[in-house]
Amino acid sequence: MGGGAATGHLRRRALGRSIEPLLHGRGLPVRVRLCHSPVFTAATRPAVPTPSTEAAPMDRRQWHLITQFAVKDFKIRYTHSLLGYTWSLLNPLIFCVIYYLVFSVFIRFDVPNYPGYLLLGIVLWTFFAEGSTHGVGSMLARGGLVTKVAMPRHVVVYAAVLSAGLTFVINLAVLAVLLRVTGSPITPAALVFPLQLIDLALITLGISLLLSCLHVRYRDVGYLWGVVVQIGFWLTPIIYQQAMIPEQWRWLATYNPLARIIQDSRQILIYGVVPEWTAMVKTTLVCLTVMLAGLATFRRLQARVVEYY
Amino acid sequence: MSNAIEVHGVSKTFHIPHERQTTLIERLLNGFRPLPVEELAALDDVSFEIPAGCFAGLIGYNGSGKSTLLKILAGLLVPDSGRVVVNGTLSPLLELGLGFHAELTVRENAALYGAVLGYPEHEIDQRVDEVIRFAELERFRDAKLKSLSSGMLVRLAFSTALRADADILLLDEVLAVGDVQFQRKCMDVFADLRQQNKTIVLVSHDVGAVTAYCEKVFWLDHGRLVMQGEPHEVVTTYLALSQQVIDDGASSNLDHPAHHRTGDGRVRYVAVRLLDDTDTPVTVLRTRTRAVLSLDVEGRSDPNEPVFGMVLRRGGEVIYSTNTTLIGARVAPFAAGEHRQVRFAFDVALANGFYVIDIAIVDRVKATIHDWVTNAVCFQVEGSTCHDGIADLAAGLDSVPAPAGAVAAGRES
Repeated sequence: MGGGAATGHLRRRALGRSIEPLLHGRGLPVRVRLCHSPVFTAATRPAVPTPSTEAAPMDRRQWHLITQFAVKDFKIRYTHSLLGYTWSLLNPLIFCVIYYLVFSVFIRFDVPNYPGYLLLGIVLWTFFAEGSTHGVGSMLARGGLVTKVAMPRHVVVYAAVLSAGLTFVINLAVLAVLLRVTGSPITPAALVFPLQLIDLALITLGISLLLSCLHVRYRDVGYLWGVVVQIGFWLTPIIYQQAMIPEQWRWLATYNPLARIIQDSRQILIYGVVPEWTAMVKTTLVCLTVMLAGLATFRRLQARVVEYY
Repeated sequence: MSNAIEVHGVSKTFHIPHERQTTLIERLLNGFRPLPVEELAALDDVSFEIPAGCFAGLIGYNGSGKSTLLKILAGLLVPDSGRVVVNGTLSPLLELGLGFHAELTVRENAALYGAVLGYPEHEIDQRVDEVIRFAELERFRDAKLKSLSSGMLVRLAFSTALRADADILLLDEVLAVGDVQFQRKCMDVFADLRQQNKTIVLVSHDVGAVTAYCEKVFWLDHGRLVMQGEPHEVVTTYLALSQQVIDDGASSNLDHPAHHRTGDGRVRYVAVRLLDDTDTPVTVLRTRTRAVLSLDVEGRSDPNEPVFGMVLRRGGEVIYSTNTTLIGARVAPFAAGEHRQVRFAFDVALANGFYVIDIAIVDRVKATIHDWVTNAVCFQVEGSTCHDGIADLAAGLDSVPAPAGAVAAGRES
């Protein structure tokens, strides 16, 4: 065992309280402000990367994580239900039938191919509503993981949106069948449809990234977003036509990216018309801006998010 | 590669609002005035290095900043100032019951968590099999996680983190949970890992485990690194200072997460003290004396029929455990709000070293746990003649046979 002198020395250290500058602090760059920069400085980043929480460029591993999370999320959502995945189909179909009954049979809207018109609107909106709601809530919901393992945290948000995307794909398949049955022709215009999907994904992801960290700090964000989605459903021409809105209110649809995405998609898929390019580009720019704002916000807020759980 | 971890002047302060306002409306009503906050310096200019391949221990009283430091090392928290350098991959095992999902099967959970920890994609299936085998959960491979016991969850979490093959392993109080057999298995693995030049950082209240396994110990107090060095020396000083804290009349907070307290709380421990044969609170006991474990107990709700128990451990090894039923005592039920003292007296038949005591209250009939506190007391034993081992059996020499020559010489004279 160490001699009495050594122990005495150590004891003095203990009483002295701050021995560490004597041992290590000398000449080291201490007190560097590091508020929003990575913990692991670039110069010392090891050859095998230590899992950092920063939003790094997507690599294979992150994609693997995102898909894993999304698939498991999707699976969990329908456990304890007899109909399972069928629910992801039934939900929009049931609403579609109800709205059709109310607005086409009872109120007698005169819209050509109303079932297709309606289902397309509902399917696109459902993805946006579900994806953004899950996305905004994802950081809080996955708190157990986020606070305990250093991982690229944006993975959690992307996975939540992707999980809604899986439902979306199934719904799109149903939509395709319905459009076929109701006799909407597939025209070359359909080639533009992927652009609408990209817009939709960008804005859904953007909003999720924008709000998910804030949601951890202020739970109101979740409730508030729920209300926005509810209101949005009625202010967006989903069950009615844009032309039905009185002139002085028309701007509500014009400046609503979701309304534009849905309207353009209908033009493309139901009426076989390619929408005006400049309008489409504007929509894309708006969605892209939301996404970039979301990325920047998330990058900034994720570093300290653990302190707010 | 010489240092696995380098910490340069790391500070971290938490701002804890006095009245917690978490909603936007509340903040709006408050006009976004800055909230009255209490600044808690969790870490204050901490610097140290852990060489690669070192089994390092981190000790300190509750609230000394150990967990904050571990979270910073794990990259979960961002330090306010200072720099952390981590050379190599790192697998954290902070508080247990990690981000697992109850509705997924054991396999799926391990695969998901493994992916998060960085298992290579093509090795996931194979590694998950190994994890399940190591955790001894083969029979539950396809069972949903919610059907597992908490001990099984710990084993699964631990095994998954272990199989990440990280260069550095961060362990927060893992030795306090899980059954003794599994703990021993883990220690075997640690020995292997050390041979592979892997670095382990263990945070523990169990000074026995720290001295048994660690090569270097760091002692944090009030967010400062007060001492580092050879385990035995650091722990001895640490316990000596604990003695001072006891003398000042402070009692340990049994509710701190480090103690892993469980139970329904119908009967609860309020305070615990270790007394020597003169009834003085101590942290160092002489071997072959008699010690008293004095437990202040509070009844919370009746009816109850409590059995009180103590487990004396060193590291993962149980040395002695008993309870009031085994002793043949029947403790009268506690009325709600009643306070009484339960005192276990025992022989300190122990070798020199560091020991911990877990304390428990269990229902006599239903065997439900009312209260279970691990690492409730830490202490050191001195004065033993034991060379190597855990028990002091007070050996002496009964008769001293003289050498044959001496006997013959004696007869002649």
